[in-house]
Amino acid sequence: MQRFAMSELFAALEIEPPDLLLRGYGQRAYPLLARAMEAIPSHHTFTLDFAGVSVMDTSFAEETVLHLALDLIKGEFGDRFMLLDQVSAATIDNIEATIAWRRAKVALPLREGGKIRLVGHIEPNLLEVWRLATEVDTLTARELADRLHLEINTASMRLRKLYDARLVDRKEEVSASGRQHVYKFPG
Amino acid sequence: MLLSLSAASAAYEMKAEELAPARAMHPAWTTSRKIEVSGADESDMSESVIRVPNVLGGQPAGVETYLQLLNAALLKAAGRSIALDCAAVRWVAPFGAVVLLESCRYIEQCTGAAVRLGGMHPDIHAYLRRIDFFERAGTCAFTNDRFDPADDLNRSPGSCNVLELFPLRSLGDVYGAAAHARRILEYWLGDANSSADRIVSLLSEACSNAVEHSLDRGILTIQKYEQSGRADVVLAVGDLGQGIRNSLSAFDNSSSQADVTYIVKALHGMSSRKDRPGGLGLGAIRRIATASGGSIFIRSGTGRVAAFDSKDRAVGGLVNFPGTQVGITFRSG
Repeated sequence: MQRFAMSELFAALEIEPPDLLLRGYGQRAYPLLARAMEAIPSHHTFTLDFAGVSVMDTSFAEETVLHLALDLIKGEFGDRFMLLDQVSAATIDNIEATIAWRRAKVALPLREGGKIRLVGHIEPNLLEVWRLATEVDTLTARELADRLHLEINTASMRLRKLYDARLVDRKEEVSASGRQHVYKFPG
Repeated sequence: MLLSLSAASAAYEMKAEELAPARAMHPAWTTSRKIEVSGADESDMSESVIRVPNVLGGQPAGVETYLQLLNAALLKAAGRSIALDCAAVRWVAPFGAVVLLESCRYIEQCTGAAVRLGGMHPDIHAYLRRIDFFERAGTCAFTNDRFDPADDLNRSPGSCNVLELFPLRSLGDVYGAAAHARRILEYWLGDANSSADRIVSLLSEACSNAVEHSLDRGILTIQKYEQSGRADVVLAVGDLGQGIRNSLSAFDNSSSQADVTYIVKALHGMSSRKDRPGGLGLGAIRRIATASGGSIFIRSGTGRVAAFDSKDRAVGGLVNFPGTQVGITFRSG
């Protein structure tokens, strides 16, 4: 897991802490965040650490967090993942509002009070699978189908959707029973 | 006719009965005509006086009475200067202060002459000085009312619960306003209070609209009120720019509509940004303010919208006043 201290943006953007505000500054911040994301190894999680940031407004959030998330889903950053940490309540509200306002099909993992939850948009059946993925080491379509009494195709599709949404990682394994994808919650 | 002569100039005042027809048309609009005639230059300098009603301290919608008088006065100004008789004003709230300042700028733009404020109650005069009204007005407004500097209000954060009028010309100014406001808010509301975070969010969205979309400079002020152990933080941001309608209509495929329609559209996400989505600002302000139990009030052109909860209360067909003025109430605690 690689951490990016959002408070570093104050010096980089020459703005006074403790708030990250305004669309124009968010647009200037995005390339810095994107470069930092690209610098982490594949199959690793890019953690945006909001310690020292009191509030990020909706406009800055749209140009940074939402923009990163959408580019992540588009495959711009390969097999990398994102996590938000130490986010203030007002900033969480603003991020959620930004995602809702834009009707973006995006869900972001957020660490809050020692637990991880999702902010944004996710279908209930996918949320159920995601929660299961956070509780186990690895998960295959067969294991999911058995646990939730699903058709194998349905289980496979749900895991694939979570992978496409950058909410679970996967690797291909070859075993005696053939090829299969093994999914895991990104560490 | 009363006539007094001096060596250099003559000044005379019209008798009351000669003013009666004008008064009958506009009961609250008195014309005090002071015409100076000098020996060297017989230029006719006369002043129209608007008696400002006591509407600057209540609900934002109340300022309509003043704006109607202003509009009528400007229609008849014909190059005369305009003075504001503030004797009836007993209270000024943030939205009223912003409208008063922007109206002085507007009058000066229309008449070419600075606006004289007169008849101010000492408390009102002190308050306007405290919020730097005359500094921000610059050359567009002045007063000859006497004031003893010993009566100036204390400028410590604990006094008056006000953030003085803050000009907004650039995004850097918005940051400066947010930083300044945060220091004041944390003093008012306490460091650990997330209300300060939410108010800073409101402020940045409101101020950035003024800077990015108005094509004018903006002005911000904030006031805290305490009631029954609860703090209301009231913000007002205003400008004399192009207004919401002109900002959005170029990007609206439908035919030109009324100002109030565009205000409602802006509240629901319509944007003037050509390159990527925008329009979060007013919607974000509304969400944060109403979630706290507060409200947002927007006036632009001939329309206004007040949002207290999930409903919009929209009114059109008002007298035209340029730019956009926003009043926000946030309930804390």
